[in-house]
Order: sequence, then C-alpha cells, then structure tokens
Amino acid sequence: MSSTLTRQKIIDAAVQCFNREGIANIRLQHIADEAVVSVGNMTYHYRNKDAIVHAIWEQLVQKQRDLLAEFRILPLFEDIERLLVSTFALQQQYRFFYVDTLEVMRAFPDIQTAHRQHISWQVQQMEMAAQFNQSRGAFYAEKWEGQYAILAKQFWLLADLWMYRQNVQNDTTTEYESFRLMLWALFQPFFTDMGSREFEQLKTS
Amino acid sequence: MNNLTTKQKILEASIRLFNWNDVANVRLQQIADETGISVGNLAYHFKNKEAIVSAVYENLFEEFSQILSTYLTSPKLTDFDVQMEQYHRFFSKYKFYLIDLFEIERSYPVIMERWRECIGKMLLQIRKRLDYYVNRGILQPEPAPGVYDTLTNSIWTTIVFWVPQQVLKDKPVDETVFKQTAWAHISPYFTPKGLSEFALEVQPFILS
Amino acid sequence: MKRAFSMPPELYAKMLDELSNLFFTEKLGLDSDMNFYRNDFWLTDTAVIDMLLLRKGAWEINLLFAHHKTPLKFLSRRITSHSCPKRARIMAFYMRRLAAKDQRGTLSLDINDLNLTLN
Repeated sequence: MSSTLTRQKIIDAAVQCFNREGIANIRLQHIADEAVVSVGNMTYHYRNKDAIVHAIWEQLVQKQRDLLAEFRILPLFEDIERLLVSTFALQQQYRFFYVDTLEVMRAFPDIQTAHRQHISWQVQQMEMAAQFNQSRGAFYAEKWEGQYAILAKQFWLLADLWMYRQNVQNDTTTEYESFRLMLWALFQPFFTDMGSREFEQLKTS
Repeated sequence: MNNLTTKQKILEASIRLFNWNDVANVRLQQIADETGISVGNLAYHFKNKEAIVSAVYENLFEEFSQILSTYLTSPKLTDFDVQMEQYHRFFSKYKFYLIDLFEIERSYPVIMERWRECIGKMLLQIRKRLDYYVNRGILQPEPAPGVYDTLTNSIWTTIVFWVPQQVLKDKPVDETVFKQTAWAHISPYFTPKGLSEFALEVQPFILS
Repeated sequence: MKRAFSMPPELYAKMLDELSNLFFTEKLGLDSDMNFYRNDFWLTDTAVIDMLLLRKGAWEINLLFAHHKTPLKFLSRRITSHSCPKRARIMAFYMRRLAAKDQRGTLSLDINDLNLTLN
C-alpha cells in the first residue's frame, strides 16, 4: 500500500473517531485500531495527534476552497444553493470540527490563525456574490453602506455555527431543509421581484 | 479583607482562568495563585473545585435571569437595544462557558439543564418581541409562516455566538458592531414607520 | 446546587404575550375618572353613620356615607378631631344628624342590595 493511501486511511479513521467521541477523548491507540495499522506505523506518518488534527483541518479547508472556487465564477441562485448543499455535507462529514470549533481553536492556536484568514476570505466571497446578484438585478441595492458586508458575515456565522447552535438548543434535526431555510432567509428580504421568481423556481426544481 | 470580597475575588479569578483554559484542566493551585491567596485559604472558602464551578454558574444564571427580566420594560425599540447591550456584556464576561459547554454537559448535567431552560426563554423572548413589533405596526406582518421563527434563530445565534467567534478571529468584541450585526437581521423587515423609529432612536447609537 | 425554580415553556410564552399586551390595553387614566370623588352631590342622598378613630392621640370623627339605592357606592370622610372622647362622641352625633338626609332613620338598607359574594 502506498504511503499516501495509508495517510488517507489514517485520516479517515481519525475523523471517524473524533466524530464519535470528540477530540479530547481520543488517543493515538484508538485511531490506530480504527485504521488497522500499528501505532508505530502511524507515528511514522504523523508524529502525534496534533499533526493528525492539522492534516484533517488542511483537507477540510482544501475542500471548502474548492467549493468556493467553483462558486466564485458565477454565483447565481443555483450556485448558492449548491454551495449550501455541499457545505452542509461537509459539516456532517467533519462533525467534530463544527460541533467543537471553539474548543479546537483554543487548543490549536496555529490552526486558529490559519482559520481566521480562511474565514475572512469566505466572507469576502459571499459579499462579492451579493454584489454580483445586485448588479444583475436579483438583489435590491444596499439600504446603507456596508449592509452586504454584514450580510456576508451573518451568512458564515450562521453556517459555520449551525451544528454548535443545534447542540446548544438540543435540536436534533439532521435534515438539510432546516439549514437551507435559515440561510436563505437571510437573503430573502433582499430579493427583487426577479430574485423572488428565481427563488420560487429554485424551490420547485 | 472580609469574607465576601475574598469569595468574590476567588470567583472572578476562576472566571478569568476558565476563559482561557479548559474548566477540566484548571487546578485549585492555579485558582489560588490567580486570586493571590494560599490553597489552604481557598479551601476554607470552597471545599473543592465542584463547589467553585457551581458558584460561578450560580452567578452566571443569576446575571442571565437579570437580563431576561428586562424584557419589554419600555415599548420602544431602544428596549431591545438595551437588552442587547446587557447580553453583550454577559457573553464578554463569560466567554468560557460556550466553549466548555460539552465538558459541562458531561460533568455537570444539572447546569446544562438550567442553561437549556435559559436558552428556551431567550428564544421565546425574541420571538414574542417580533410579534409585539408586528402588533405595534413597526414590523411587517410575517411574510410567510415560519419566517419569523427562522429570523428568531438567526438573531439568537448572532447574540450568543458573536463574541466567541470574534475572539476566535482575534477581532475586537466591540459593542456597536455587535448590535449592528444583530439589528441587521431585523431591519429588512421594518415597515416605514418602524424604519423611521429605528433611524431616530437606535441608529444614531450603532453607527459610529 | 439547589434546584432552581422553573416554569414550563408554554406558560412562559403566555406570560410574555400578556406582557406585550399590556402596552396596548394599559392606558393612562383620564381626569374624568376622578369625578366620582370630586362630584359629591350624591352625598345628599345617602345613609350616614359616624365612626370614631383614635389617631395620633386624638379622637377623629369620620362620617361614612352610603348611597341609599346603590349601597356599594360609599365614601368615608374625615371631618375633624377632638382630644376628649366624650366631646368627640357628641360632636359626631350632631354631625351625623346634620349630614343625613333621613334624620328620623326610617330608610333602611337591604343586605341583598349589596350583592355580596363569598370570595
């Protein structure tokens, strides 16, 4: 088995474990058992748990970046929808990260720094998407300077903390529909007639 | 130094420590050092860490219900603004508890249960406030069923998570920006009457 | 940790509803609401009894007026006070005689007019 395959196997196993038990409760032995490799073999690839968490985080960010790269070119309504679907899927896949973001950030300061940049980049993308939709007539213009900037921040705040919020509120729905409803509701007040029509179409399709 | 202030000092030191470390990892020695007293003295006031954690949360809930009790003390929009200010102060002071929530859930289920109750009340208050604004004619009637429930959730998420995520992003936890973000959820739904009231009474304070 | 007081969410929701209703149902009182107090013309059609109270070391003469058709409409007025109880009793007797419409005391109150309820 090639080295990259083993690495991926370890990563997948780690994600499984973390999702099940939370980062703090997992030791290297657990991951090794899950991946069916020896601890020695694993430490050859990843020095310690921190290294694994880092690797997972990098994969996660890479996936998010790919999503946004697609999104950046032409953020029509169906592209926003597609972004939502994949973001939701990503959150389900890497549950542990989203359920415990704040804790992970506190425990891994360098991830925190990198993540900070990543978040601000995401926010920028969303602001640009709002501007794009305004210029094509689907959104109303800003009522006051900076409204779209705040809209973009709200969007990522709600999206990133979705699972966290569910957990705090003891809300057990895992359906995509409620996630989607909440985020689209942010945009709805900005829809022009054209925007509303497009949104109706999107809902029926 | 009388008993009350020592106790108070210990609790404040604990909050500071909890804000930057896991509740589970904070030891009595650290709390004593942070307070500037001996462990023996500390043990005189609180018999173990559980007692301290309980006392900290007792204070936390006390302050939270204080905030809840300021619901609709005046019919104006500024009433919500004032409540938001208090929420902001609360979540800035107790940054830790959101982060350690899952630890708390495991080790102190009673606390978690009370916290859930507080959350339920907070959500209800926001929802009823929207209804009230609709009745007063400053908010549009609900455009479609469920829209205001969703809006309630968004406002709630902003109020509760804004401070921790700003800390995470290493950005200032400025009160005006906090209120701006929270109000931005509601403002698209204002009627003309609501807009003018908002522009007159709230906006001057949140646009710096 | 002691068990905190808690109330079911439905009840709390209802309470909040009532609270926000307050701003629609509760209005400032009007000046005319106090007319019953200022407009004491009806006192001429009342049954009157006197009442002596010891207050601040002096005997205070109060007159209680009750409308003879609607006995629930009644009012107590403080008139004056005397330090001597005997004198106060005599003064009260004459004041009652002066104030009452029916000096011979032939008007009577019917308990059923009071519409008393047991709670």
